[in-house]
Parts: sequence; C-alpha cells; structure tokens
Amino acid sequence: MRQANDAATIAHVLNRVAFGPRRSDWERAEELGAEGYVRWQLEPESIADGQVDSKLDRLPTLTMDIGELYRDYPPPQRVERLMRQDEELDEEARRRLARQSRVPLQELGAARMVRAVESERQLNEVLVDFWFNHFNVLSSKGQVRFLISPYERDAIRPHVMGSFRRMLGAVAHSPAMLVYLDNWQSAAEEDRDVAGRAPRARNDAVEDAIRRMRGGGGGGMVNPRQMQQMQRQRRQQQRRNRPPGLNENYARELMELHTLGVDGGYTQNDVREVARALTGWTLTLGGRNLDPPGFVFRPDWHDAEEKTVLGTTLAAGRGLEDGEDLLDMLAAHPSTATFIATKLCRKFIADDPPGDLVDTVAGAFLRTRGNLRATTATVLLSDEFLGSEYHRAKVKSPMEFLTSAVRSLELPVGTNGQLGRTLGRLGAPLYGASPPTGYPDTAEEWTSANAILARMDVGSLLAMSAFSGRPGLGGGRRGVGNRGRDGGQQGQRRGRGAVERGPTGTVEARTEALLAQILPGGIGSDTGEKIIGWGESQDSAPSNAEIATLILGSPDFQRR
Amino acid sequence: MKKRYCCDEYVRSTGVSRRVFVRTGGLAMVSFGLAPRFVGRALGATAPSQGGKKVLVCVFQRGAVDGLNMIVPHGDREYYKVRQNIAIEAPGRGDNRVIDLDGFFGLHPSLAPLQPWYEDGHLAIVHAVGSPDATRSHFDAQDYMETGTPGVKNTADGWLNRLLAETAEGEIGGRQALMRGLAVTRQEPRAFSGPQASLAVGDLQQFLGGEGPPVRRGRPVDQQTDAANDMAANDMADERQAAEERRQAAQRSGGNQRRREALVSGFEALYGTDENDIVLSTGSEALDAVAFLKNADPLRYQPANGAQYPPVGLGRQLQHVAQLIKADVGLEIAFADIDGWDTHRQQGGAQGALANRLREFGQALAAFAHDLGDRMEDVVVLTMSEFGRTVEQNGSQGTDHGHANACMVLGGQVNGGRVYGEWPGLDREQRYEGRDLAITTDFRDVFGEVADTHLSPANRDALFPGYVLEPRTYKGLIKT
Repeated sequence: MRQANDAATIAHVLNRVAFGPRRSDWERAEELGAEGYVRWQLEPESIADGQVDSKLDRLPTLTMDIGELYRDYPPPQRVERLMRQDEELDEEARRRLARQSRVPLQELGAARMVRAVESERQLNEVLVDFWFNHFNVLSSKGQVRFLISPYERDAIRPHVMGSFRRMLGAVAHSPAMLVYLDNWQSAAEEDRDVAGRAPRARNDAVEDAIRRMRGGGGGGMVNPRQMQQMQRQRRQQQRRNRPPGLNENYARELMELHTLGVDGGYTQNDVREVARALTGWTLTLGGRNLDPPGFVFRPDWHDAEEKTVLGTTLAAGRGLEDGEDLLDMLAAHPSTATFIATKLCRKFIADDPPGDLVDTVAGAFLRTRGNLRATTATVLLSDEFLGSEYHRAKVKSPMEFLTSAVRSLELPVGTNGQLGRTLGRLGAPLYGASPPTGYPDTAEEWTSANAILARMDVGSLLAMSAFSGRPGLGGGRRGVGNRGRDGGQQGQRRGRGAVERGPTGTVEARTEALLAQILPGGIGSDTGEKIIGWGESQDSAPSNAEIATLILGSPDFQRR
Repeated sequence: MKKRYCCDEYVRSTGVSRRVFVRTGGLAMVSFGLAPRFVGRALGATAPSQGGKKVLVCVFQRGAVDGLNMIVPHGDREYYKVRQNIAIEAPGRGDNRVIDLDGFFGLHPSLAPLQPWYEDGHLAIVHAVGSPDATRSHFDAQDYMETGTPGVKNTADGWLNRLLAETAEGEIGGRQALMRGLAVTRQEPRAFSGPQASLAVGDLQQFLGGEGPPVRRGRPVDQQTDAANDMAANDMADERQAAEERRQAAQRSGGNQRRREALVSGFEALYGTDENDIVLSTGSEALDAVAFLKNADPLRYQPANGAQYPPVGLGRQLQHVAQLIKADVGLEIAFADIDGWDTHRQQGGAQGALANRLREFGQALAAFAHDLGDRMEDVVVLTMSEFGRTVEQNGSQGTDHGHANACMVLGGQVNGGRVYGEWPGLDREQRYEGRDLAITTDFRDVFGEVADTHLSPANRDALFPGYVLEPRTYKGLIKT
C-alpha cells in the first residue's frame, strides 16, 4: 500500500475507513498518509475520544445493565404487573413509565449517530455498523428493544477489532438474539433424554417454600405430604413452562447468516442438529417479560442425545458444551472465513469484490483464528483497497449518506436522537432492519426512485441547517447540541433575513468552494459546471443552501 | 425482507413532461412538501376509465405465510391431529371456524371478505404450490421465486422484468416505459430487476411530495401487544414530528414556488439519463416519474363502490395501484408486498397474530376488487409467498419453515370458485421430508399460466429460463 496523500486517495480512504470526509479527519489523513491513517484507525484503543465521551455522558442508559434498565425504564408489561401489586401507581404514573420505557432505545440511537459523525475512532464506528448489521436484531420484536442497548455495547462493540469467535459467543448468549431468533423457546423434543434437572428458579414461590421446609425453622409447619404436593406442583409448572420442541430459527440463521453463508455446505439435517445442540440456551424465568431476562442454560431443556453437525459428532450426555463446541466449529470453518471475507470486501472494496482478495482475506481470517483486527487490516492494507477503479465504486447506504453529509457540513449532532430518526425517511430506520440479514450492502438495493428523492429532500434540510442559520436536522429541534459553529448566536439568526453562512462571491466561486467542502478530492464529473450553469441562468443568484442542496443530492454524493 | 419496485407506462405523455414538471414544481422533496399543485387533470384520475389495458398485480406475502391456516384443508384429518393449538375449527355453526369452499378446503375466518369473490367465481386458489428447490431460507426462496429460477442464484433479472420485455409493443423507451411496471414498495423488488425500466415509488403520496401514511414497518407478528401499541405511538410521534419538520421546512423555503422550481431544474440538469449508471438512471426516472404522476393526479382519488382499504400497509399499496390503473397511466404490472408472516411462535388460530395479518390481507384484496369494479375484467391479482410452513405446529405454538404453499388468483376473467391443484395429503409419509406439505404444482406453472393467458407475452418460454411452459397442461385459471 502506498503512503499516498493526494486528495483523491485521501477522499477515498475517508469514504471507506470513515463515514466520509470531515475537516479534522482530512487533515489527519493528509498528515499520516493513507496507510498511516488506516494503521492509526486500526488501533482505536489508542485514539482519544474525549469530546464524544463527554457528550455521551448525557445519556445515562448507555452504561446500564439489563437489570438497571428494567428497574428504571421498565417495559410496559412490567409496569402493568407493578400496578397490580402497588395501588399507589395510578394511570398517570403508568403512562409516564410507559414513555420512559422508550428512553434506552432513543439514547442508543442518539449515541450511534453522535459516534458515527463525531468519533475520532471512525473505523471502529464503521465496523460497529457493519457487525451490528451482520448480527442484526430488530428493536421492535418482542422485548428486544429493552435488551438492544446492552447487546450493542457488550456483544458487538468490544469485539469488532477482536475475536470473531468471542463476538459469535457473546451474540449467542445475548438475550436480544435469543429473543430475536426465538432460541429461548427451543427445547428438546418430548422423547429425548435431557441433560439434567431443572435449575432452582429464583423468585419461585414453590421453590421458596421448599427451601423453607428443608431449612427447618418455619418449614416445620409443612408436613411431608404437603412437601410432596409442592414438589409435584413445581414439576408441573416446569413442564408447563417448557416448550415442547425445537425451534430452528436461530440454528438456521446462525449458519446461513452469521457463519457459513447460505452456500457454506450445510443441510436441513444440520440445521436440525444445530437446533438440538442449542436447546436449553434460554432466558431466566423462561423470558416471561416481567423480570429482566438473562442468559441461562437449562439442562432440563437440553437434548442430551448424540448429534452430528457437519459430519462431526457431538457425544451424548453433555450440556452447555454442545453449543460451545458447535460455535468453535462454525467459527473455524473455511466457509465462514470466505463468507466473512466476502462481506468485508464488499463493504470496503466493491459490490463485486475481486476474488483473489477475498481469498487472501479469508486466509488471514483462518490463519489468525478469526482475529478481526488482522482480517480487517488485510482488506484495508491491500493494494486493491486503494485501486483507483474502486474510487466511488460504492453507492452509500442511508446511514453512510446521512453521516457523510453531516460530517461534510460540519454540523454538530444532538443527543436527542433526531438525526437517527431521519434514517427512517431514507428507508433504513436505525435498529429497524426486519430480516436477520440486516440491511443490504449493494448498489441496487439502495437505488430506487423514492430513495433518491428522499436523499435530495434530507440533503436540503441539512443544507439549510448548515447555511441558513436556522435550526434543522443536524442538531435537534430542542436545540440540544444545535448551536452550529457560531455557538450561542443561534438565537439571533433565527427567522427571516438571517445571515447566510458559508462562502461569498459569485455563483462560480461559491459552487467551487462548496464542492471542495462537501465533495473534496475531485469528482471527475461535470457536476460543478452543471451547477454553475444552472445557477448563472437563474434570475437571482442561488443561496449557498440551494447550491449545497444540489451537491448533496447530486449523483456524485450518492457514491463513496 | 427484500423489497423492490415496478413501473408504469406513461404512454401519452410525450413532450409534456418537462414543461409540466417545471411548471408544477414537481419535485417530490418532502421539505418542499406543500400540497402538490395539480395541473392538467386530463388523464382522468377520477373519471371512469375506458379500460382495455390488461394489468397483472402481484402481491408477495414475505416471510412465508402459513398456507395451511390460510387455505385450510379441513377435510384432511391429519390437519387437526398435528395442530392441536393452532388449527382452525372445521366449518359449522358460529364464527371463528373455517369458511368452507368446497367441502375439503376452506378460508381462514379472517379472509371472510374474499368469500363473495370465490362464490361469484372470480377467486381461484391453487394449493400445494411451490418451488422444487429445497431451501428453507427466506432470502434464497424469495430470490428464487422472484427470479423465477429455483436453485439458480446468479440469475440477473427478475421474472416480471422478462415479462415486461415480452409484452412490450414495439420500441418503448424513456418515460413511456417508465410506468409499465411499478412497485408500490420502497425498493425495487428482485422480480423487477433487469434491463426493462421499472420504478419503485414506495408511498405514492410521499413520493409526490405530500405526507406519508402513519409509519408502521417491519413489525413481526409475535410482538407483544403493549409493545406494539407503544411502538405505534412512537412511530406516530415520529411521523408527527416529520410532518412538523416538513411544515417548518416549507415555511423556511418561504413557500417560494419559484425557488422550488429552480431546484427542480437544477436536479434535472444533474440527472441526465445514463443507462450505465444506476444512480443517474434511477434519479432521472424518479424525476420523470414525479412529473408524470403529478400530472395524472392520482392523489385526488376516492375509492369507488364504498371500498374500504386498510389505511396502511398492503391496503394503502393496493389503493395506489387501483388509482394508477384508473388513471390510465399505462400500468401493466404492479407489485406490492406485505410482511409479518414468519410465525415461529404463538401464531394463534382463528384469532391471534396470523389471524390479524390475514384480516388485513383479505380486506386489502377485497377493497381493491370492489374499488376497481368493472375494471377487474382487465385485472388479475396473483398472490405468492416464498414457501409454506411445517405441517405440525412447533414447540412454541408456531410453525417453522416448510415447503409448499397456496396461491390466490383474483380477477374478472378468472375461472374462480375452485381450489386447483392435486392435494398431496398431510400424513407423515405424504409429506415432503416427513414434515412439510409436498409440492404438486411448480410455482412457475401458476405464474406462467397467469402471465401467458392474461398478458400474452411474445415468447412465453423467455419467462423462466430453463423451464418450458406447456399450455396444454394449463389448469384453466384464466378464461381464454
């Protein structure tokens, strides 16, 4: 890889390694050169990110665990239960609590956008976007939205530069994925041997009573017959809670989407065997929505008979280790290496990436046992990565379009989540990809008539926000972080006759200045001439906001 | 699920568009989303149309609908044995039972609005239809169904795109081609991908610069009710906020019509047609489409015959399709879709998650047929889903991915009132791989027959590469 720092190369690197060029990143990349910038970004742990950190301090739910979230931001069903138990809670309180319950997802969305736009650790954020999408969960499925913030924080973020196997394992254990792909509801079929007896369930009235009996004390009040009856009740309850059979959903997507890929060489029989291996990977309390769910392995739900997955036998009589061995096997499988390598190359190189590079990257994945830093580095430090034939070869996803626009305009991002909501209008709501495939990563998927019109639309809002001195999408309607570059002067700039910001001079001069800001590095098209020609033919000179609207909505800006 | 588009033909628009476009400030930019200033109502969006053009409407049930609870084989005893908790009670007195069709099959009670169409002979059903490919992946199976090439992943174009090519009369280019096929989905469906122009408009009103419908997307069927309500409230709040943003933005733009027109002309300059560049060609199509659709004025449309569409989702999509059919914009093939069928758990029986989804589905189809009235003589609606679901209920009172499914064919010229197809039986040994409804009719035979008899493609064998349609084996779904 060349130590290039020409403008076209810098623009390319920032379009791929970052969410588009931003002034500070541009300067840093010029200083370090392309390779230096990539190597710097490959070590996010050593990049200070104090400004973003302090902004995120305003979002208290980001650091809460599931227990704290359920306590402070209870799901509506939990509120209903609390109301039945506590008559002090009136209707008003119920509504307030229901509103509260949305806060963690809102804060997570706000944080994602703040980080994507403003973090110094741009590659890390690009990879979080990539890997979250790879291990997609949908916020509106069941309880997922109450589990999704810890999911991104604990299952995805720590591993994007780490071990694939560890990410795979963290995802497999995560309540969010267990709910999203239904594995929490999968148990051994009726006629199978299971791995053991039910674990003692906390908060179980029968359990408590039995414990009291055994512990003496008050238990002396209960005679053996009553005790037998209680035990029978407990067994009945456990049977009731136990799903009567397999659910293949997670098992299938684990192989098709998370590891091997659909052509990875597995069969329907493998899907079934994998589902059997993962029986008993479920949630505390059977996930009954009232208390915070956590991962638990239930031996009494686990099919302990022998299984054969991809030709490898998992011996009978085992428990949790079935699933762990399975994940080991899948993570180390050559099909997984090729599948992950293809997706990474598609993300960073081209929709149809060069096969030789995919092979090289897959080799790195296998050689390093799924070390994602090394694997990602193999893509980004390859000769192909900088190939001029790949400059602007990718069509931006809605996320990439929005963040690159905000970054190029140097708009600050608020913490109220408004910017993230714009993604819905662009066709890709944040945490709203319904299928387990997540959002697509190829041009044709993002290029539809209404998608392009929506980009023109959103671009105009951003341009007005940046240049007309009025509130817009970059900051937030509540003004949080919406000070623009002129800080507290915002108030004076509201309303008609506001001073326009940005370059001054002729249409030509302003167009060139705005192009240099929004699409730095040259674009190899006649977009500039067209805008200038258009602007000069107008009765009155177009504003900076209008010129910027055209640039953001131009074909060139849709590519990266 | 993947979603894509289709197109519409603007046959008589020659020479008008650009001028009209600029004059109406036709850009769909929501931030300029003042109520569209309609001009030229000449295309008669509200007047009864002369008709004549045949239209095929495809409705994809994404996520694999449980065909055995949609079109219930209540005469198959095994059905009740293996679906203890989710079976629909056999026909008889009272509600919440199967609506009998022919003594063996019946409709889910939520599909009651479709019963009259069956009785009148305008709705046909084909059961045990599917793909010979064994995949149980939603994504692969949808692709196979949309490309029309089971098991072949590298097929570049979709079957509806090939159908457009085979039904094109003479040289059709530019904006005339634009509206022949149109998807009322946010993204182009795979079925439409390919060299023939096609267009995805998503929500039509939003596409034309107005406000969209209440947002409700990607909602899985097993969602908790409270959470669903809560999410809906959230979406509504977002939508209200978006509307407010649009209003403010419109104010910000000073309501300045001329400025909007100026920007429109600026974008027109930037997006010249370039067949080789997907962004340029799509942008160009989009700008043209907005102009043409505004000219056709579909938003002033009132459903006829008291038709009541569900206000969101498929109902709204089909209302758009009906509008465009009546507006005579040149629509030949429309594509709509509805998701939420992946009922792995708690799918319910006569009531519950699947029942709710089917109710919306049936109401939307029935409203469409009511609305079009006599125009249904020219229209055929074909429903499809990527595969069926397991014969037996699973451990979560749902159903897992299966194999064969059922299709509906609805239209004035349909030989309806019958359930077509050979019934393979539900007993274990009759099932596919011991678990799923076996396939007795290849989906290409249903799609192919409907397309061939309704739209008369020049070369029927071009529709499904590597697969020959045999007209003598057609079931007679469409009157010829």
